[in-house]
Formats: sequence, structure tokens, C-alpha cells
Amino acid sequence: MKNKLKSKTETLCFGFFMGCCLLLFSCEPQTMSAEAIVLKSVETHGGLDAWQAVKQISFDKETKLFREDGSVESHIEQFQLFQQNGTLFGKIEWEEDAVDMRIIYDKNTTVKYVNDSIVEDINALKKAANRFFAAQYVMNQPFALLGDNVSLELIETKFVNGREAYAIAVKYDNDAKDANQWTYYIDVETFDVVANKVVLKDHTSWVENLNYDTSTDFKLNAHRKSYRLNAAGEKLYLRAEYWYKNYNTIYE
Amino acid sequence: MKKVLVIALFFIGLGAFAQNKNARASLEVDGVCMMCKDRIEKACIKTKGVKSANWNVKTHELKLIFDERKTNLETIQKNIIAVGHDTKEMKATDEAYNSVHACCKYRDEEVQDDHKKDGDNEK
Repeated sequence: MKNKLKSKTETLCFGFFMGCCLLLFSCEPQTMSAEAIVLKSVETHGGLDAWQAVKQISFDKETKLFREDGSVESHIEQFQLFQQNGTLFGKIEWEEDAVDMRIIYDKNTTVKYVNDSIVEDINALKKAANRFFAAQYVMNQPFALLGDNVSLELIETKFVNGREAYAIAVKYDNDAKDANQWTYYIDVETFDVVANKVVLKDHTSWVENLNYDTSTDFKLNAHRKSYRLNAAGEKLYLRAEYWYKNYNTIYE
Repeated sequence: MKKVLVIALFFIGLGAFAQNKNARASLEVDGVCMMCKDRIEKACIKTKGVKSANWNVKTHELKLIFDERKTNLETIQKNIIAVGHDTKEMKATDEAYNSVHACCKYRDEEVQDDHKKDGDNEK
């Protein structure tokens, strides 16, 4: 009788121990892979299938650049348009010091107009092409992070304006040794892209996404601020502020 | 009373000169296929101030959004006929028309019929 009771108590204790273990492990936060985090973020921002179904996207972008002393260096309003579900085509148009500027990208060729004259200077055209691709890169995030040529690595979590975010290091297959180093910060709860950091040859930029536009089927940038960082990763000064509006998407 | 009249006239004048950044308009443009659509729309978008161009292959209606301060319908139509497509008001030169792909020869009745058949088959 005594032995039977002892055995029952042992079984109960073992059961209790196993229960505690199960509870302990199930409460421990599960570590998601970088790919899973980005996939979830892409879903939050509208989904990859929907993004790839867009024939054309266009919007207005206002950019204010600031000097280190806080004074305004420039203030421009651009119109940007991209078609990328076939051969890449697009246009960036803006006015600078009362001069009309226009960059057209079509059939792998960049054409730049100043007022209505075609620019023939090769360096100016290279700059125009870089400008176009930089704009396209920004517009495609976070969707392009799921590209075949992208390697993702979860490096840490960090608080960005009070929001805990996964820090995902992004590398591209064709990166040169001194290529820009990108890190994206994705909210651990909402999976919004809340910031990104880019280490360039001569400086480091930290861009915070402050507001999103949801007027289309996607959650896209609405208001961003870009800071210069020092070597310790501290904000030095506000370098730029961006506003995006009048998003228009065409499907076909 | 005089002051009110002056203010009213000021605003009426301002309205008359105000140009719409996102003006909307429609044009009739000739074409027969999706290649035509791509050519017509790109010719428009490449034009300074044009923000959106959407051409309907069945109705031939081209819907435009453009900045009136930068361009106008005449300029847009000139760029459309330059790539070989007639509008209701302007005709493309033979040289421009001949530059379009053989399947896009919208002035040719046979080509028109072929595309109509394609359309029927799609149904």
C-alpha cells in the first residue's frame, strides 16, 4: 500500500516536472529566421504577389536637405513613376531653381532633359542613372529584400523610437568589398519597417520611417527622416526629411 | 461694398489663372493592340508633366493626368503622333506610322480585322 502511494507520488512529481518544462519552453520567445521576419514584413506591407502584380506605381516625393547647422540646403518636389513588371521603365521629374529636370529610363537607357534639352554629358547621365536606380531601390522596399540575390542575417534587436525592432543585415550577391552596408529594422510586433541604416564609404545614414501611406493596397512610406551618424552610431544631425503622397497604382 | 467687390474680383482672377497640377483629360487615339498601348502610354509619360496615361484598346480612349503648368494636350498629342499613332485631331506622318511594328498597322483594315478576330477568340 505504501509502495503504491510512493509510486503514485513519483508519477505525479514527474508529470508536474514535465509540465513545468513544457511551460518554460513554450514561454521562451521563439527566434525567427531573418527570412521569416522579412517575409512577414513584406506581408504587412501588402504582400509580394500583390506587389509583383502592379504594372505602374507613381507618387510625389518632397525632399528637404539640411546642412549641419540646421539650415535648409535644398527643397525639391519630385514626381516619380516606375513600371517594372516587364522591362524596367520610369520617370523622375522635378524643378530645381526654376529649371525643369526630367530623367527617363527606358530599354536600358537613361535620358536626361534639362528644360527640354537632352543632356549629353556622360558623367551627368551616369549620375542621372544612379539617381533613378536609388529612387527605385527605396520604392521597392521591403519587397525587394526577398530577391534571389539578397542574403539576410538577423544580428540583434534594438529599440527604435520606443519600438523594439529586429536588425536585419542585408547583403547583395554582386556587392563589391567596399559596397554600402544595409541594415533594416523591423518592428517585432507589427513587422513594419521602422528604420534602416546604410554605411557608405564616407558617412553613415540612419533613416526612420515615421508614417506610412495606406491609400493603395500597400503600406508605403509617407514621412521619413534621415540622420547622419557618428562612428559610435549616435545621431549627429538631421540630414534630410522626405514626404511621399498621391500614390497611384495601376494593375494590368 | 467696394472692398468686397475688389476681393471677389481678386479671387475670380486668381481662379482664372490657377493651373491644375493634376488636370484630367481624355483623347481618342488610334491603335489596335497591346503593343500599341505600350507605345502610346510611354510616349505620353515621357512628356514633361504627364503623370498618368491609360489607353483602352477597345474604346481607343486615352485617359490622362497631367500638370497643366508644364504641358498641354497639344504637346502630348504631338508626342503621340511622333511615335506613329493618329489622334482625332492630329495625324501621324507616314514616316512615323511606318516605324510601328507590322502588327500595329492600325490603318490597315486586314490588321484591324486580325485583331478583332483575336479579340473574339479571347472571348
